[in-house]
Formats: sequence, C-alpha cells, structure tokens
Amino acid sequence: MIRTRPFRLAGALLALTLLPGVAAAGEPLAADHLKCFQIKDELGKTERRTVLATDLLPAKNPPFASATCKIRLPASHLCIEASKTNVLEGGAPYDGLPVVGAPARKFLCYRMRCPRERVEIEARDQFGERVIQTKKGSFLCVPAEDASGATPTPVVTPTPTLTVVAPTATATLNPTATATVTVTPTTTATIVPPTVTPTITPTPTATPTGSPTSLFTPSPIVIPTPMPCGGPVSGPIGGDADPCGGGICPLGLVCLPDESTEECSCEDVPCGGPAPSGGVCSALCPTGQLCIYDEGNCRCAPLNEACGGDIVPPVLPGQPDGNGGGQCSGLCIGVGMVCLPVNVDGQDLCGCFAGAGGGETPVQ
Amino acid sequence: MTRTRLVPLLSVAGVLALWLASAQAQVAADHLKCFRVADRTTPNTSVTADVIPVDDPPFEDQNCRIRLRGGEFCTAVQKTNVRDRHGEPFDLLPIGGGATGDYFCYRLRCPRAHPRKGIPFEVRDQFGARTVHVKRPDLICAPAETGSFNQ
Repeated sequence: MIRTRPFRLAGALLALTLLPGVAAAGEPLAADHLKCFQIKDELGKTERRTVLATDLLPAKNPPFASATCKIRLPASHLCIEASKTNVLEGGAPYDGLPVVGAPARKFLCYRMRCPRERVEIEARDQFGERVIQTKKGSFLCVPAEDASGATPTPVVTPTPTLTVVAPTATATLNPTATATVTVTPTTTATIVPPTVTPTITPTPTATPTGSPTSLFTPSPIVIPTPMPCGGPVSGPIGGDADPCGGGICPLGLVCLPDESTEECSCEDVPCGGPAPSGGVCSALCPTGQLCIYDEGNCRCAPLNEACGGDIVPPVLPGQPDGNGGGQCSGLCIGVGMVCLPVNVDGQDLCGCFAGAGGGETPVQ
Repeated sequence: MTRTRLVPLLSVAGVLALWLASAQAQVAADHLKCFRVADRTTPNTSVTADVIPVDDPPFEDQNCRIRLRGGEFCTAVQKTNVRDRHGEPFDLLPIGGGATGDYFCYRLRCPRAHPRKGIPFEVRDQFGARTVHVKRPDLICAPAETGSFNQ
C-alpha cells in the first residue's frame, strides 16, 4: 500500500472540511431538521403525471446497494428546513442525544417502488440508538427551491471554507558563516519567525435567517457550489483543462465548448470513445450502467464498477481518514480522479478524489 | 538559511483546489431515499415539540406530537439514468444541492388546523416549477448517524 504525504494531508484536510464543528465555528444556529407536509401538486394536472425509472446510487455503499426504482409523479410531500425545540415527554424536558446534522434544505418527495432491500444497520439520532432493519423504499426526495422569489431561500450556500494553521517557521543557522560577535550578557537575541497567515476568506453569500431555536449547533457540510453549464469558455479549447469549468448539465448531457462561438453548452453525446476535454464522462448509458472515465476513454460500465462500492477489506471504524487498510476499486467519472477510502463522520466510504500531487495512485 | 513548511502547505492547498474543481463536475448524492423500517427496540412512546420552519409563518406549529416508533430511515443517494415508461431519457432541470446526510423520520401530528385546500407555495425541482398546495404536516425528520456505537 503506497500513500504519499500530500495525499494523506489532503485527506485529512478534506475530512476536516467535512466534519461538523470545524467549518462553522461561531456561525448562527441553523435548522437541521425536515418538516414534511402532505401536498397537492399541480404537476399532476399535466401530461407529466407518469412513472419514471431511475437508478439510485447510495452514498453509503455498503450497506446500501444500487437499485433501479420507479418513481411516481406528482410529488406527495414537501419537506422544508426546520428546527425542533421545547421537546417534552410527559410534560418533562426530554433528554436527547447530541446528534446534529448539516443545515437542511427543501425537498419534494415522490412515492417510489424499489426492489426489497433488507439492510440491518445500527443508527442513532437525538431520540436514541437502535438497530433497524429497512424494508422497501417508499420515498425519493429531490432537492427543491422556493420559486416565488418573495421569500429568499435561506439555503446556506456551500462555500468552500478552509481553515489553515499558519506553518511554524524554522530558522536554521548557516554553519559555514563566521562571525565575530561581542555578546553583552544582558542582550537577548530574539529571532521572530515570519508570521505566515494564509487567508482564504470564505464569502458568505447567504446567511441563515430565522430564530435560532435549534437545541444543538449543526454545522454545514462544505461542498462546492455546482455551476450550471453556459457562457463563454474559460480557457483554450482542446487543452488539458476543461474550458467549460465542469459546468453542470441535466443528466445525460455533457457540457462542451463550441469552437466557432467559444460558448459552452449542454450537448447530447453518447458514452464511449475518447473522453471530452476536461475528462468528465457524464453521458447517458443504458439502465443499470454509468458512464465512467477509464484510461482516457469514456465507457458504460455496470454500477458495481463505479466508485462507491465495497471497501475491501473493511476499514475498521474509528480509523482516521480511512487509513485502516481498506481499499476501493471503483472507477470515477473524471480524469485524474481516483477512488479512495475516506472516513466521514465515522462512516467508511469510497469516494472520488483528485489524484494530483506527483503521480498519486489509488491504494492497491 | 530559513526553511519553512510552506511548500507542503502549498501542495496540500493545490491538491485541495484540484479536488474542489473536480468535485464541481461530480454529481453529489443530494437526494434522499427513504425506507420503511422495522424498529423493535424503540419504546412505543411519543414526545411533544414545537417545530419551527425557517420560512415561518405560515408553517410554524407548536405542541406537535412526535411518535417515536416506526417511521422511515432516509439515506443520501444519487439519481441517474432517469427514463420514462418508453425507456426514453427524461429531461430534468439542472437543480441540485450539496450532499445530504441521513435522517430518521417520525410521524407528526400538530394541533393547528390547516386550510383544507392547503396553502399555495411556489416551488421547483428537477421535474419543473409549479405551485403546490401545502396541507398538514405529517413527518418530521431528525439528523441521524450510522455506524457502530458500542466502542
């Protein structure tokens, strides 16, 4: 197993940015619960009342497995971010566990039918720890936005937050230097290390509003904001870098530059052949497959080949940054990305990471 | 000669920047897949709580009853290969969010009367923008963690 220092440091730094309590110190309380309402959805008045098939790839695989499910439009529930307070049991304050989450966001939830998936997991929340057994999938909740414009959606913009400890300066005396110094016993020589303060200032583009009524202080998980595809190219077309900056397109479409207009747009490109500039494979594949990057090419591969699969052998829980000897063998959709184990909130996962830093290779 | 540890720091920052740039191209697990669960250990009791949405009013409720047994467990998933009943790709709006966490969802009963027709609320997701009519709340989801806790 070969793992070089830059990657290990990057992993630790990544884990720090993902861990609650690191990025959000001093931020106001936010709503980390979901309050879900039954709704009557006007989507049902249109021809889009239908049943769709989709593949669902769980972030925690294992224990959950990829599955092809059928979702039924229109939506049945609207879930909005909320906080819970004044919790009482029999009139007395309820003493819950200090389990906190990232600030919630809005979801529209749809009825769903999935193959039966019996998974037994140990889980806990503010109401206690228990072992549960899942039955069949019942809802798929899709991220939603307030479309009225009247009420600003208080979604915390996931701006990358980086807290860096200033490096300790090390002063080394040159042994070849010769100096004649007359030292007065009362003189104190002080070598002041240069103060290096790398400041990467996060731009808080949204401030959670509402009364801080949550019992606990949740912290946001820091995820870069996806940028929609469009606008002029940001670099030369045909180079190593993606001139469209990895713009996000609807599923099945790829953000590509137009050489004549030098504009980026979403194109329908079949999966297969050389990877596009920027090396991101995101075209459509048949049901049950995913378009992945493989040695300069894009190809459709079964879901169990994609990153997010088994960690073999299992990483021992509690090991920092997934260094417990686990391996991930999956493929990622982007060039330079490698599938590696990481421990997030005590959960051992496989994830796609930049393999830069002098020929980093995935753990073999 | 003065040597600092700035070089490794810059390497880390570079790797992180690359990861951030690449992560923009990755599709986050921003959906929730919810399962009904069998839970034989949680006592069949309930608690009361005030449930305060960020967008209150009109969605604030006080003295709601939360039933602790049963309910749903929701975990983060990524949705791909969406097709209609004819097997054709289904166009989706490019609306997404950051990776989400796990939740336990419980049955919720709130005493406040809600309009029978519901409160109109404009919302959009990947399937389109529209007005939904919000009726009574019936679920509350609390953040959850998974793993082995007996250590």
